[in-house]
Amino acid sequence: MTPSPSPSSPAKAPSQRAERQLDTILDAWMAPPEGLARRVCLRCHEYAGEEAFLWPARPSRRPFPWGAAVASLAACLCLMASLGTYLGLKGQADSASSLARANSLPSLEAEEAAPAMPMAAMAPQSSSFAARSREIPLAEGLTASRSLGFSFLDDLALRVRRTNLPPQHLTAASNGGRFSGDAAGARPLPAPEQKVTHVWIASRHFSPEKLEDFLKRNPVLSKGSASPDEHGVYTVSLLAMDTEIQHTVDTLFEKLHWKLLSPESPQPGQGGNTPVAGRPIHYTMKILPQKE
Amino acid sequence: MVIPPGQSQSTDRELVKRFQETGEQAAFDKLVERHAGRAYQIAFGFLANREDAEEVVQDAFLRIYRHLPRFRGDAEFTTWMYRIVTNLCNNKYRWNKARGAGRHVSVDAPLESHDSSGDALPRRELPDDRMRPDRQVAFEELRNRTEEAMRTLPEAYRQAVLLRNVKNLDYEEIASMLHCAVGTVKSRINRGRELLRKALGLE
Repeated sequence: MTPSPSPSSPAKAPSQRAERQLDTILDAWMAPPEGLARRVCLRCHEYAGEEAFLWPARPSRRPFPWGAAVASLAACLCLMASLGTYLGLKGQADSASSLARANSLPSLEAEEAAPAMPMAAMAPQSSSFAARSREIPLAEGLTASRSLGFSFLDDLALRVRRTNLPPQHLTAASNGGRFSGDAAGARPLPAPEQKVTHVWIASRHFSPEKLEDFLKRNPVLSKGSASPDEHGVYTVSLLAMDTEIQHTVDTLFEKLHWKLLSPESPQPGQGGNTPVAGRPIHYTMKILPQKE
Repeated sequence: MVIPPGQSQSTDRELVKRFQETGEQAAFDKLVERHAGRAYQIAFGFLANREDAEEVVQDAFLRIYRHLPRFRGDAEFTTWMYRIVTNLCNNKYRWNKARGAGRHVSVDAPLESHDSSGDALPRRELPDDRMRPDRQVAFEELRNRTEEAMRTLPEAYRQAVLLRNVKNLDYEEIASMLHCAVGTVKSRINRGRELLRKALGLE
């Protein structure tokens, strides 16, 4: 690309030589540093390790939890049936009481308030109520009436009347905790039992801007709040399970080559020896970027 | 686009294909070996700072590593790489400008071979130890004068002059990197080189 001078012109020769000299100087001045390709490859290999950390091996895909889905649906239907029964019975109670008043008979509320009154005595007195409910014998001392007000909920709706147990006990018993247990999502973490503070020195490839970006992208570390202080030290405080913390420590140490200064557990590679019991840990990291 | 010589064994396309199909790390490493130097020169042409240029090269190849599995091959690999490098250079330039950093390599800074963690520092250009001492001194002096001349050169001229010396980069590519016309690029190159020759006493 050197501009070609006019041929055999002595006045141009210095310019040609000057051009070549300038090219030589510039080529030398902007020559790539030694080992550049090796360092770039190394950085990419480290990144591959980071990727494994950012997206750790996920458990194999579980089959669709049909049981939990069916249980959830049944719980919803139970809830709807209970609600419908309640609303239906409320209406029935209103109509029964008005009928009882019309017939000068004791009201249903009064009967319900006297728990010892047998059901059979009630039935002929409140013909509309009796026609709309059916007694179902349960365990000793318990009776239940099945509401017929809602056709598709009949099989599910149970109502306890005139028992010596408060309704919420039988409601809980009928639910049995079964549906709520199966259908429950993630339970909230119990109060943390352990607090751990670790001081880390990030590897030299983590400039402050890269460190901030890394902390934001990481699924575990982004849970905490990272804020540099006036000395540029990042403090990440988070609440996580001990298994997550052990994995974090192992990967920071082995794959990203961060240095751990603190002797407190969990230590890198300790996962096999220390029992991890699924306990929450309040984990604080103080991260010092390496000085360039 | 001029295809550099010496790539007869595996073309860039083949290396990319091998990486995409099998995740072969060696294929990617080969691409790095082949193009890292040129990427560095382009970054250095923009930023005129060695640390920044190396950081840009590392970031560029990290991005390439992340996105290479999805690279469709519509353009040449080098075209894609140049675009990434120039974008990162622009970002770096804006970052430095926002922070008021006009960092340049200080030729007076002590050269340390290893940092505190024991990792080797990037080696800067050092005079050849086989040179005679008087020639080493002359080399150092010339390098200092080049640094000084580059500092005084207007940025637009400096970028054009340095990019012109990147191997296998033609005027059209330089113009697209600098977002100006080919004629403007040629004019800046000529003027910039003239100023450098004067500053270095080469005329």
